[in-house]
Amino acid sequence: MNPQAKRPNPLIGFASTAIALAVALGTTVVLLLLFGSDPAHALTSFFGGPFSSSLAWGNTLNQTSLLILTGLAASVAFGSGSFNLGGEGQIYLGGLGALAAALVLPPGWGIVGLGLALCAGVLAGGVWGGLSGALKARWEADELITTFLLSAAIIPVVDSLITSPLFASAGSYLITSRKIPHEFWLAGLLPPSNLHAGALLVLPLVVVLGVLISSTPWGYRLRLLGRSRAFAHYTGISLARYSLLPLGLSGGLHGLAGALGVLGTQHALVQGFSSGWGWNGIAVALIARTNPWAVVPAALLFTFLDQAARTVVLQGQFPFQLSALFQAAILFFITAQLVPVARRKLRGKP
Amino acid sequence: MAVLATLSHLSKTFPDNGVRAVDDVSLELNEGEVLALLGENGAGKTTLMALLAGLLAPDEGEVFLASGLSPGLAAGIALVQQHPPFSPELHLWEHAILGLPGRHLEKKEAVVTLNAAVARWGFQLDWHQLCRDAGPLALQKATLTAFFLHPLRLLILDEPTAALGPHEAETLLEGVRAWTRETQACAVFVTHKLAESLGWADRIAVMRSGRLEALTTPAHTSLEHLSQLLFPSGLAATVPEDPLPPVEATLPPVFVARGTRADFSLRAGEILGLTSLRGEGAEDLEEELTGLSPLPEGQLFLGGTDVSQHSIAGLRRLGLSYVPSDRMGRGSSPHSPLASNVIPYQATRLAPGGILRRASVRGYFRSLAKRFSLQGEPGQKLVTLSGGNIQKLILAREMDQGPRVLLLAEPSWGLDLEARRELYRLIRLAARKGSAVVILSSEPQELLEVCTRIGVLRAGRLQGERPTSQWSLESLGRELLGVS
Amino acid sequence: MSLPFDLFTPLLLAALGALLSERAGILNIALEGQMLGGAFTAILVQQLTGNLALTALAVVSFGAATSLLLAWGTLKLKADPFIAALGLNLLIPAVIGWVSFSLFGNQGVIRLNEAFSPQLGGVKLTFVAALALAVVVHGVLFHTSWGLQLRASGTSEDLVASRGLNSNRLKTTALVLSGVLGALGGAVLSLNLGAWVQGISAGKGWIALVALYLGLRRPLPLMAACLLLAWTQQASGFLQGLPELPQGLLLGLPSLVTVVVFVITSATQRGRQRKSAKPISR
Repeated sequence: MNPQAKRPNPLIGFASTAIALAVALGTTVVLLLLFGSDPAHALTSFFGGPFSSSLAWGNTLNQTSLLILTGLAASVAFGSGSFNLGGEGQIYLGGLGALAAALVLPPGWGIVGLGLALCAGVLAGGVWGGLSGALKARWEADELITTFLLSAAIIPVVDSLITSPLFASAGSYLITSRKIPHEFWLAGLLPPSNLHAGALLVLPLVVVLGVLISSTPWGYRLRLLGRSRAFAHYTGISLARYSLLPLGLSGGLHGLAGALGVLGTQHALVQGFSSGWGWNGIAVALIARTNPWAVVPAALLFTFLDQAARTVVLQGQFPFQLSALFQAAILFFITAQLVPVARRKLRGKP
Repeated sequence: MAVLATLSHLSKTFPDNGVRAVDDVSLELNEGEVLALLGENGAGKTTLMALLAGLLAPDEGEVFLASGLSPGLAAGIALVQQHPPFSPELHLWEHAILGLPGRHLEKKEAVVTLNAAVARWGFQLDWHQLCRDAGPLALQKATLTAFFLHPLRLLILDEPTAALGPHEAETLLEGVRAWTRETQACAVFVTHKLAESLGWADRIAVMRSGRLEALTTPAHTSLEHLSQLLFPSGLAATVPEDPLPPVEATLPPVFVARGTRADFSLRAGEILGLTSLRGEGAEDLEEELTGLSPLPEGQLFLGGTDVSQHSIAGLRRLGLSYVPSDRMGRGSSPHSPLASNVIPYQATRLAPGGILRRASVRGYFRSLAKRFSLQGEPGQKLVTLSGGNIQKLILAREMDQGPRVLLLAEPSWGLDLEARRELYRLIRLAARKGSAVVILSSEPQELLEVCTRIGVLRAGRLQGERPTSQWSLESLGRELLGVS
Repeated sequence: MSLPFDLFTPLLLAALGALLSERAGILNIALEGQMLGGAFTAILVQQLTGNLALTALAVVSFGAATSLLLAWGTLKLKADPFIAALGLNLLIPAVIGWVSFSLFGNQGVIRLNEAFSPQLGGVKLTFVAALALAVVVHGVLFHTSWGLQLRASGTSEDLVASRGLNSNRLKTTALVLSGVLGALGGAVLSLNLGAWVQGISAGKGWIALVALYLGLRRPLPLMAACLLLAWTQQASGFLQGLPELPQGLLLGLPSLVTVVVFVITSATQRGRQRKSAKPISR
């Protein structure tokens, strides 16, 4: 009942990451050349697409900022030896928290209300992630299963709340809640693109988390747990406390991503608006090998490839979802030990 | 009597630590005989058996098997480990019949077969319990029974009687001997118990430091002679150049165990060595003294505080430092840099204002490296160091805490002579600086070299604890073996 | 309320697949993708050949092939089984979209001329077959040597190796069976409808994993778990028009109950370990 005991260490082997990325990119380009209607044009729009206009630019940056958050969320958990597979639900719940706050608070509160709505999103996601941490700390319930199940439990609940009288809107063909008051919108930065002021929060947050994880005693203990759980335990680190905190923090970051989606982009809670963000965050965290600083380029690369593939498909130069294909290739190969690791020293005694 | 297997000039060196576990061993195993393999802990018995069973490949030499015989249960060779692997979710009867040919699984039938098989060994087992609840003894018996259901010709038993009572041990060995006679098979058993090998084996092989020291028969040897072969009196312990000053009898004890499997009372500046044969509870003691397993009985005091219920974190806060036997798992983070491996207790101190500065972390590593003459650069990964240097780094980290109690388990496992000497010097230094030191070791020789007091863990109790000056390797060996 | 056959049968097939893989120690997270792929393959081959036997063969081959790919990634390349399977879950719908677009010019709906839901005395044959399969899986797992080997390989590879058995081969076989069951589940779903609709599995591959733990990892309680899950799905369909009823809670409840069951199981196991202080041998 403990799949984690058997898991390979995803931190070992930087070369494997490079190979996985190369395989994914190579497959994509080869497919483009083989099946694209106009290979030369397809390649140009593939690599140039995400920067072709301020609209494309803005959307790419906005998507990157969200992926940085979910990538950080997954990194914080993975890096400390806790597996959070519940990102999807935590993001969605974060969106609901922000929505509820934005609809309840008086619009006159302006920026304060906006801040509170963001906090509500963080709190909602954090509580849901922290719950799995608490279950692990108290009863040693494998967080791999509980994060996933708790996420699966909450998604339909949020779905139905959107259409409940509490939040429902009349006369929209999308399944969506009411719009939040204008006062609580995060200002757009590069109209007509999706980029908004919330994206500016992300880089400072990376710095704070990066310093927290790479340069504080707290982060040191987290990393030690992720690398050598038994050793960390024997130095006297409380396994219970350090199961709760990273999962709570991870959930909070997911929640923030959901809140930004609601307050910045949709200005309402649209059903399934964040679908896939959590899984993509896991891919980004694995590409970054759970290093918070590396999450930024990893998210940028991931979004770039994703948008590029979408552009090509949208322009009809390629007949199917290219982006899903390379995401699949990355996920399939990213944890594979493509370069055999010298592990003989890992065996302790003769 | 035909030869079943020939070991020809076998050698095996472990690349991890450069120890030559088996050194040019040649031996023939015959049909219909029982061979006892004797040797101290770390003499290379287990490695030799693994080579014979085909679980390890020799560096030099070869294993020749009789025709029709090859490694693996189905092909006639089985190795019964002392702690056989098991699946907690299976029932004991399932554990026993796993891997037998036949497609259908019929519980009633299986239990009847198993009961018939087990009766021969004088055991009784509840086949319907889960392996998780069965306990090591039942598991060992069930595994043994399982193996006898296969068409075996060569059976290797690793310490088969370590956990058995005298009557059970006798029935088992008698059964094994009768089986070899009936089926013309061969049984090899590894043991520490001299009387057992004299009573039940046809031949006795004695190993020391990887070499085959003697090959004899019960008729040509005696308890005295075997004991002499295992712990030669001529091999005196080296006296340290810097003996520790005697400890004031008026000092209050800092580390006390009362009513436990190993009662002791230890003052600052003393080094207590505890040794035992395998299976006598030393591994359990390590876990109990460090708070991993609950104490089955009795109390433990550290600096006057009752710590019987404390976790490792609580014990460390009260001044316990611990160098575990599992040095790459519990003792260090192999794939982290050296600096990360030395700062777990210093992290808060090295981070004024909450920020752990790279310069101060490296500075701390350098100062530690200078004081303890450690190898390596702060950014270097731990796995790149040799076993001796890794152990020294762990010890330096623990000693720098200025611990009230320093507990070391198997501190010199896999280390070469020079590294050992350095280790012993550091341990004595810790005692001189005022730590009470406990060493759990399966090597009597090492305790004689470094400890001020030594006791033997046997039959679930600490026996004959007294100052080192009143011990010799020979007397320690006798106490270990229970030869009076 | 009628019995939710149409939801129950595919779910049970997938859950049995999840069970076999979990018992062998390599939980098949790719079931969702394999269900989708099975559903699509069935409609595709049926449309092209009109031969039900060929269709079944294609569906089985699809499930087996994707599972072999997963086994290669996790057992040979030592990739993390969870992450690699997530990759497959992304790959399969993408390829379906491509094939569908190339052959039929759209990625959405492919309709057959007829639906397939053979009945016997008013009961759907697939339903009966799925129930029978559950009994067969129970028999194989707990009453054959192979089932025993499978369960052993899921919990202790050392034990399996010490008896001269090949743990990787056992795991691969279990994964292949798991993939085949998942693909068949998908095929039942689409053939019963007589059409391929994008996203037809609607998360049943994930729900199958919930059913696995809710069903206590045993085939017979698993049937009850699948029935409960199918019912709640059906019920929420009825309740769609009644916004005052918390249908979301109803849909979320099975997962929540599963968490509770899982936590209780973990807690009791832990309690058992804690209690057993090592006895002193004398």
